[in-house]
Amino acid sequence: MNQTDHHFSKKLRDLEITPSERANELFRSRLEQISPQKKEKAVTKYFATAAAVIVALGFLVFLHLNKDVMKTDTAIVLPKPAEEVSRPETAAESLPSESEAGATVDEAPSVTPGNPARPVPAPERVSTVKTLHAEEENLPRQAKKLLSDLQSLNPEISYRYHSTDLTDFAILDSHVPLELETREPAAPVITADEPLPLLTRVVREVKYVANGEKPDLDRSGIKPAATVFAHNQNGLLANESRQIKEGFHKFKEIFR
Amino acid sequence: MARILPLFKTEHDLARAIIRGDGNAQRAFYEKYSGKFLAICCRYIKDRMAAEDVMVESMMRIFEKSSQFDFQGSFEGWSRRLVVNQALGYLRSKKMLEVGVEEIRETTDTTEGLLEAEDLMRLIHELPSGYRAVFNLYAIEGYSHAEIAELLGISEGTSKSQLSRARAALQERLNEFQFTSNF
Repeated sequence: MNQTDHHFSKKLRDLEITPSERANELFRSRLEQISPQKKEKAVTKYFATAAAVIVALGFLVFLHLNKDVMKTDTAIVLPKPAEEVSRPETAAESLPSESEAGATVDEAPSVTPGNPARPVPAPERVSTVKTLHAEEENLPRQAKKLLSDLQSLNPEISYRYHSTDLTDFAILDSHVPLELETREPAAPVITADEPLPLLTRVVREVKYVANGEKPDLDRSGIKPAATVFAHNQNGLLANESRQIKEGFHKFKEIFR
Repeated sequence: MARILPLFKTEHDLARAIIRGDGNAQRAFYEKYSGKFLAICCRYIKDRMAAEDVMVESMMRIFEKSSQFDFQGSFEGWSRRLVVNQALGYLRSKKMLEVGVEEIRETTDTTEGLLEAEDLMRLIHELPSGYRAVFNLYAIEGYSHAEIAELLGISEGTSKSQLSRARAALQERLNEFQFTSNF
């Protein structure tokens, strides 16, 4: 830097020139142009934050309301070990009266209180429900193994074992967030009386006659061969002819 | 404008507030540095109104780019460079930054005192814009020839030759002033 440079630098480097009022006005107007944008940005940011908080709260409320649905209590019906089935006192106690059975069925939801929508159908012959834990000694071996397996899968889930004193079933109850198959109530089985053999019917009819009653072949379902094999004027068996007539009458009634 | 600078005790406090977009800090910064920055603009741009426009524009640019300040050096120095760039940009946009061999116009108004800043400013304004820019950048702002070459898009050699020509012209004008003042 030579002397000329130094001379100019010394005089001009820190020189200040006061801006005119026009420049000040220009600055103020430019500053106002910037500020509204920043305010808008800030307002947008606040609204976005508020919206995010509302959405998060809504999600939490939704989770809270659906907590019961997500934590489904499930009952697993297990075959009871052979030694328990063969116990005579269990079998004796396991035949309650109908009212007791109904009460036990009504109590079944209390075993799984968290699942009112899908009550687990209680077995028909439940007498008492007894809750046992995995640590207990008298827990059936099969249930104990299952409990330990389940708890090893997820130690956070607690399992309980309900001994129902069934003749052939036990209920393992747990808070398992899985949907396991529930047993559908068994449809009542209607057993139709099988027809007795012909010889038995004949013997029974003979007994009736021996007791002094009038013989009634319809009562025992015995028809004489003359009746069964009698032909009418059309050459048909009487039974067949009657069936055809009845069918024909029904047909006419339908189209009348 | 009201004086609100005492709210910001240090220059870096002021810079932080400007980065936050604090309007008070922006006004305080303008209050403090508008005179200096206008002087810089006036060294490069002869037209006073244009220089003021460029100064205000520089202020806006400083506020806009303040987040890029790394707090390593002086915020004023960082801002000054932005103002210089803005002034050079203005000259470039008006095609007044064509560095080359330009005729130095003769001035007749040489009656004022030699060492006054206004006179020196007038002498600088008599230089062609290319010479003026190189002289301002090198002699007053303290840029190196490499930096000047990069800023103006010229070679270092050109920067050096422009500087020596500017110096020669200014020296000649100063001698004329001395000669006139002796009589």
